[in-house]
Amino acid sequence: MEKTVKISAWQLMSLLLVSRVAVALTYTGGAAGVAHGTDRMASLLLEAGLLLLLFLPTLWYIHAAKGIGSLEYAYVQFGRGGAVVAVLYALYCLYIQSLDLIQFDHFASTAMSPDIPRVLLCIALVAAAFVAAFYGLEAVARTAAVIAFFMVLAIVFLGLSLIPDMKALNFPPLLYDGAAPVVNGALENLPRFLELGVIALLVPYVKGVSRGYSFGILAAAGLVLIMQVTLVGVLGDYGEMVTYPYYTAVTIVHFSMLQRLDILVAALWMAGIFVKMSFLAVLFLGCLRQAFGDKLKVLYVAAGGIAVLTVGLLFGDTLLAAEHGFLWLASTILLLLFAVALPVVLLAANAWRVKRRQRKGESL
Amino acid sequence: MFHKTNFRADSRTNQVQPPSGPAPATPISASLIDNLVYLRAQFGISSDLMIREIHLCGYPAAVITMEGMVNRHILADAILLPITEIKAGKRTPAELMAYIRDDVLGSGDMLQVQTMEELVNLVTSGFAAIAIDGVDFMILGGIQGFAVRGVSEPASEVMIRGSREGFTEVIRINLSMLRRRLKTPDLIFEMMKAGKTSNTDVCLCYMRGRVSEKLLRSVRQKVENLPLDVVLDSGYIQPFLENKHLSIFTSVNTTERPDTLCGKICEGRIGILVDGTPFALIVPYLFAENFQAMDDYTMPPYYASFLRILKYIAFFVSLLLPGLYVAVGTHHPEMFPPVLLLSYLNADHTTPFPLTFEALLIHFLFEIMREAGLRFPRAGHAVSIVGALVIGQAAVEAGLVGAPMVIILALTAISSFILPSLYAPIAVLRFVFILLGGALGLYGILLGMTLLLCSICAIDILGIPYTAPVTPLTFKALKDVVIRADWRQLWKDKFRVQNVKGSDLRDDGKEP
Amino acid sequence: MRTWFLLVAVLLGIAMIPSCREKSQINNRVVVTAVGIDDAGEGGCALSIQALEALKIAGSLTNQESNATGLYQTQGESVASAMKSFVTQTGRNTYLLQNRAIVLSLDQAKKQPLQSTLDYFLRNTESRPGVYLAISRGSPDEVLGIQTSSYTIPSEYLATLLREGQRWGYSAGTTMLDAERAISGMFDAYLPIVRVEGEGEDAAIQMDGTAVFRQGVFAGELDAKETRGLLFIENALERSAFTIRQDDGSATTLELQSSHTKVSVDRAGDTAAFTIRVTAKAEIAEEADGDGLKDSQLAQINDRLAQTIEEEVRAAVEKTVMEYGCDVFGFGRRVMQKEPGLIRGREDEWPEKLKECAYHIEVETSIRSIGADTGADPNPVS
Repeated sequence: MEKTVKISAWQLMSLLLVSRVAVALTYTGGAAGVAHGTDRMASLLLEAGLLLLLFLPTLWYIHAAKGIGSLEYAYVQFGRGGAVVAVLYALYCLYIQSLDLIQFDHFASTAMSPDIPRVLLCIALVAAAFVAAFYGLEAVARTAAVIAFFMVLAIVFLGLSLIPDMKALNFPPLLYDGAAPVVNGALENLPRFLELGVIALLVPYVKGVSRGYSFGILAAAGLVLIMQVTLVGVLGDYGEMVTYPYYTAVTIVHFSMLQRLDILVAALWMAGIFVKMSFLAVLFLGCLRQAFGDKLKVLYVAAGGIAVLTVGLLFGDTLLAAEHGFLWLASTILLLLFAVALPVVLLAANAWRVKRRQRKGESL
Repeated sequence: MFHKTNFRADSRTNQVQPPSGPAPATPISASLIDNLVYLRAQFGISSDLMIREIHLCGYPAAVITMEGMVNRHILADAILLPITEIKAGKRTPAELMAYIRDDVLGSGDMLQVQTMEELVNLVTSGFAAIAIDGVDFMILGGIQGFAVRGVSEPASEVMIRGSREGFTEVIRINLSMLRRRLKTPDLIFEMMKAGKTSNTDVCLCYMRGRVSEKLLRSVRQKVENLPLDVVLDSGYIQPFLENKHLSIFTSVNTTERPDTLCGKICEGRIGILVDGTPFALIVPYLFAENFQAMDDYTMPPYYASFLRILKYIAFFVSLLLPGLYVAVGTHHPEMFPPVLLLSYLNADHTTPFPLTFEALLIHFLFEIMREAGLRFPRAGHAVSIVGALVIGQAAVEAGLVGAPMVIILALTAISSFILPSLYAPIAVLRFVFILLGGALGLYGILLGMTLLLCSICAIDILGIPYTAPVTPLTFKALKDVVIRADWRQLWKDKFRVQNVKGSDLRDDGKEP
Repeated sequence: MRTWFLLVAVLLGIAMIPSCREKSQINNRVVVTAVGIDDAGEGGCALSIQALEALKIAGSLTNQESNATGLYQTQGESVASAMKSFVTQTGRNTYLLQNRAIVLSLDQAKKQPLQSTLDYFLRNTESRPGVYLAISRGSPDEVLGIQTSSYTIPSEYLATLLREGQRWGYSAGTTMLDAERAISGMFDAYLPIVRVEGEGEDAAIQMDGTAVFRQGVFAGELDAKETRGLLFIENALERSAFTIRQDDGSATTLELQSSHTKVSVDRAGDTAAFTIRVTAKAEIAEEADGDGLKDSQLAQINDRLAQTIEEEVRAAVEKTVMEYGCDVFGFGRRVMQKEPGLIRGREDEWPEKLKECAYHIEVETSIRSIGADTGADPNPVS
């Protein structure tokens, strides 16, 4: 029997939560002029607000399109030209995955014990993520639900374990340098949540997209807030000097006879990255199948994986150096393009088409 | 954009072509000689076809049986004696046959057939056929007397408190065991045939009003369209009911216990009994059910919950413990506290092999010994002694393997025995995780676990998610997943397997 | 079929990975359990490395008398170069993830700022923030070479001493994380000073005060009482023993059961005024005369206890803030949190400005007398 693909709002929330936290774990506090310490907590809330604001065009699209996904809508509007939109979406997914791989590679080489060859780890991660593309959206969403549960559990557990090591003195005063760092911090981190650009794609496959998205953003903000409180409480200003402060903070956790539970964080983060990359791989594959058919799906997946690995491993260092410069600009532009411009363009195209039809009808 | 994404599944089980139509049936001839010639031609030189030619009221007649399939005493008393004592009268052959069918024969199981195929099928099932020259049909009485194994305790599912009855190889006896437990006309037994040559009796058992009609139609269609020539066990049918042929976890499981099958049927599942095997199939079978047992529902809820949690822990221990030890020992020894690190260093220093190889070797040896113990049950004790001596003592003293590894093996083995239905996937996956742990440390193990979780989540059994009710989450159903709530709570929620969240077969009016 | 072949090929490929084929890497590395850093003169430093020795462990885990470690010496221009020359000596790389303690000599602490000495460990991803730091009055290898029958790994003994010493008020239990916070500029660091007393089998580690640093540079030392005062303010004290003499010369020993210190900040013109409130509860551990204590005596003991604590706290503040100009208590950060306007833009001035601030110390104590009824009122007296 032909099965309809449908995920629930909670599963979408889990996907977004896991993606968001996977990004937050690579937060580096050292960037100049942006919020750190207590200010970053305010920055997180502002960021959540901005993400909800940026969702408005997509929300408008959801109501206007009445359940049709943006890709299908593009085909309706542009005919075969919809394939261009499909390819653009596919490339967008590859872009996000490449960024994730760059961060992962950097993390593996700087924070983790380098015994394991990092190239091997990257290949394993990408291969696993792209193999999971064949399992489909529902499988990835269900996996995300389980991973999200354990992620929340682990972060809360680590936070509670570190309470004895937290000191009130470690929290710098809020808005000590004014509101500018808070705003800068929110803007700086905004393009790290590029998943917003693909929400419109998922409209026909999610029951309650708006609900899932909103809860996902809020839950993620709450969880990242806990992480921020933990790392500031433990590290204080020292958190600005290390590359991965949360990871550094949890290295002092002891649980019974086990120590160095930062491995738990690294492992959970890897699971989160896997879920995020496989989610995007599913979308990537779906877009290319829509555009070019089903026959060469293995080729699409292989090509996608190789592309991500090439960009991530060969150009990772160069791109990471431009993280706060060119890369930030590129990500912001792409986010606005896919999250704001594309839904608006699609709706405008539809409105123009309807008007033209009406004019034709009147002239007849 | 996202249609069904079963990788390569289309080429196998889901597009099985139904047989090209039934072969034309051969009608029973009015000539007795023609019928007997046909039968002898069909069975060739097979020596178990018994044809007793007699005369009934002056007409040539024959009694047809298969040697060993009928009860000779009942054949003599209930069939041969009564029919040979009929006084000659002015009846036509057809009237005589009708008289025998309605007034003479003492068998409670009477059938009338008009085709040779039906005749052959029933005679080989232990029926005795009566043929009279001049009649184009035959009547059969069910007087099965073949040797059967008695009802005994199932070997594969031993319960402490629960029925000691297990299914046998005879489908009719199995059906009676189910009927005894569910005395309701809603319990439906739908008999079918499977296997073009073997014509094996297969029975779909379900509760009318509880089972999903869509599920039933799907299962019925799959069983009817089986391309198999011979069906000797339920395991032959099992792959054709599953969606993903490459999945390491099975979504169609078996049981030897009638009480377990009754419980499953009452939840809207379909039981499939196959003649010749005591293992009944259960469709659909969710992942969480591997951790449930009949005993859970007979024990106090706190203890049943404790056992459930124990089983979940045992699952992870048996699956991951060797891999975790290899990963931590090879790549993350900083996780060991100092005293444990000393033990590990001591063991590592005295053994020649890498930890990964040591783990693979010792687990492989264990599997060999386990198989040897199973296949040679008389030598089972000897095998366990050899195993204990060889692995437990001699190998450690010789410095081939470290003592911690032997302890790991023991824990892993004991844990895996708690979950017999998951033994096969655990045994195979354990090796995979040892390799992943040795190659990529804890990161490899976690990646493997996540990919495994993803592959489990991708399994759908005829529209029902395999990982339900955990994900997609059906909160109410969790009362019987990790814990076992009290019966006073359980009876209130009428759990139907097709109504879990994410199911395409919901018939409770809610959206999937 | 093809998929099964692919799966088997992948598994075989994984099996070919070196870490699957080669012996455990941990045995190819030196598992460091403690590091000592000493001044080698002429800009160099000498390292004493305490490491686990597999040969000593093998076959004899239950032999509690054996020490499972060995002590190595190495030198270099810096800590990093000394570590590297150690690698060339032993042919094995170091493994720092099981390191428990870093001991600096007093000479080294005076010679170089903390951030320079510890920079190698701050940058090394294997270094744990929970590593204990200490300063040795003599050579660090004397401290690291102490063997004890209770611990197979001597650095466990040192780490336990420092941890328990902080609980009991004898020493500060400073970890690498504390040093890292200090280096990031929040407040100044302090490290416990230890020395070795006795020789041979009778040698033991003794706590010998605290060294305080100003912006990573050695500023001075605190004696035992000042150390306890410091620990009171840091809320690190859980137990301690006080011997109080009464007017009649008799001595009573009190054991601290709990203490809590709250530091509050108020603006005082252009500076700040700090109020340090210490609340402590103690029990009578031993009364020298054994005659029992009357209410009046208990009241006197209570007053003297409060006085003693106040003196120790005041001594700690005066020594660290007034004399050495160190902000080990984070007073500057407290001003930043409570009165940001006072400090904003003038963060660099505040270590000096702290000397101008007022410090009010209030101590509230209560004593409980337990054990045999000596006729005294058993209810708490405050």
